[in-house]
Parts: sequence; C-alpha cells; structure tokens
Amino acid sequence: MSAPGSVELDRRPILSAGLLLGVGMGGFLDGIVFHQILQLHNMLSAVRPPTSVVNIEINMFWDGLFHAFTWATTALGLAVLWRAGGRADVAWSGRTFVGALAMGWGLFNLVEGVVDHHLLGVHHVVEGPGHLPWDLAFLGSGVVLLILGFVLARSGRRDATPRASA
Amino acid sequence: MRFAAICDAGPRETVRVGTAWILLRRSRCHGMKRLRRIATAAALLAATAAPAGACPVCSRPAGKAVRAGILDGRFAVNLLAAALPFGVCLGVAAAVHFGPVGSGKGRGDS
Repeated sequence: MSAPGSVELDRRPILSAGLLLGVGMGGFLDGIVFHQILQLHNMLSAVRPPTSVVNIEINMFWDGLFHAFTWATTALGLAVLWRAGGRADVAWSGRTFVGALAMGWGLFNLVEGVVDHHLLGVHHVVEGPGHLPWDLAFLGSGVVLLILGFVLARSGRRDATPRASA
Repeated sequence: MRFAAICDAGPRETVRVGTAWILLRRSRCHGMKRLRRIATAAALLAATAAPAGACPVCSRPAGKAVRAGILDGRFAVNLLAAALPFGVCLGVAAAVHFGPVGSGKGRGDS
C-alpha cells in the first residue's frame, strides 16, 4: 500500500530502455571497432576467412545484417525511452538508466560471446590459433559490465523523481 | 575555366607583391593542376571499378558467387548467429519491462 500523499514510481521502463540501448551501443561498438576499424574479425570470419573478394563480400553482407539487428534494437530502446518520458509514474533516474545501459552492454557481450564465439564458432574476437584468451576476455568484460551496471542501477532504486518534474 | 584563371593570374601579380607571395601563388597553381589530375584519375577509376560487380545483387560471376555463398547450406546457422544474441537480449529486456512490478518500483512524493 502507498502512504497517503505518495505515488508508486515504476523503474521498469527506464531499466528496459537502458538495457535495449546498452545492447545497441555494445553491438555498434563491436561492429564498428572490431569489424570495421580494427578488422579483427567479421561475422563469419572463422568459417569464411576474408581472404578473397567473394568471402569479404559475404562477410560484409552478414556484418550488415548484424548492424541491422543492432539498429532495430537501438530504435526499440529509443521508443521505450520516449514512452517512459511521457509517463508521470516513471522514476527518471540517471543512475538507473546508466546502470541499465552498462548492463545491456554487458549482456550483449556475454550472450554474443557465448553464442557466436563458443557455441556456433562463426567468429572469434581475434581470429587465429590463440583466440581463446581474447574470447574469454570478451566474456569477462561482459560480466564486469553486468556487475557494475547492476550496482549502479541498484544505487538509483530510491531515486524518485518522476519525469514530469525532472 | 576557374583553374586556368587562377594559374594565369599568379605570375602577373607576383611582381607587385613580393617573393613570398610569388611562391604561394605558384604553389597554388601547381596544386590546382594536380588536384584536377587526381580528380580525373579518381573519376576514371570509379567508372572502371564499378563493373567489378561483386555485390550480392550484381549479375556478374563474382556477384553470383557472393549470392551463392550467402544462400548456402549454412544460411540458417549464419542467420541464427546474427539474430540469436539480439533475440536473447530482447527477451531479457521484455522480462524486465513486463515482469513483476514490485522489483522495479520506487516511491516518491506526488
């Protein structure tokens, strides 16, 4: 029950928006920095090494699809955040939002690392015989980001400023 | 031509202004010529490179090979590799968004 004169504030929209945007930010960082700028790997570089024009083009297609999914996730996160901004019962907490962003990024690193690097083996962070330490470091970064994000979001659980008065 | 006018104007005006200006003017003149040559070469290169046609929707042999490589027997696995991480993350975000209210609530003054 709420005390008289108080209103129950919902943190879930900020958490889910931050999670989705964090996943998008992590995906874009992976795609832009690792795939394109440093060119350490591509989407299928473990099964189709980019050593010919055809293989480079095939990898470029799958990299593009990866970026398309990243874009869609980011757009969805923006939509959720926009809707949350219009609600008076949502706690507009910076710590909660930034914590959720970090958790989203960490979640992406963890899930993408497990699925693509270890289960399906379509690529590794750094292609080559010594790829395991890099893949494990990628997973580790995901765990660290998840923990940091959780701690930060938890510290903002008592932030109680609704968007209307923020 | 604008390039020609700049290059022609340089030497006639240099006498009145000084040595430093002469050098600058000549350098600019040569730079414009070089720029025009580079632009022409780039245009020719772009015109001749385009028919390489290795894009997935190109009809040339390289394009067909790319298309075949994309739509090969591993297509479903590759699609899973690209989409599954986002699907899982979306599921987690949905669980938070539509999950139990109690865990996600704070309390504030109205």
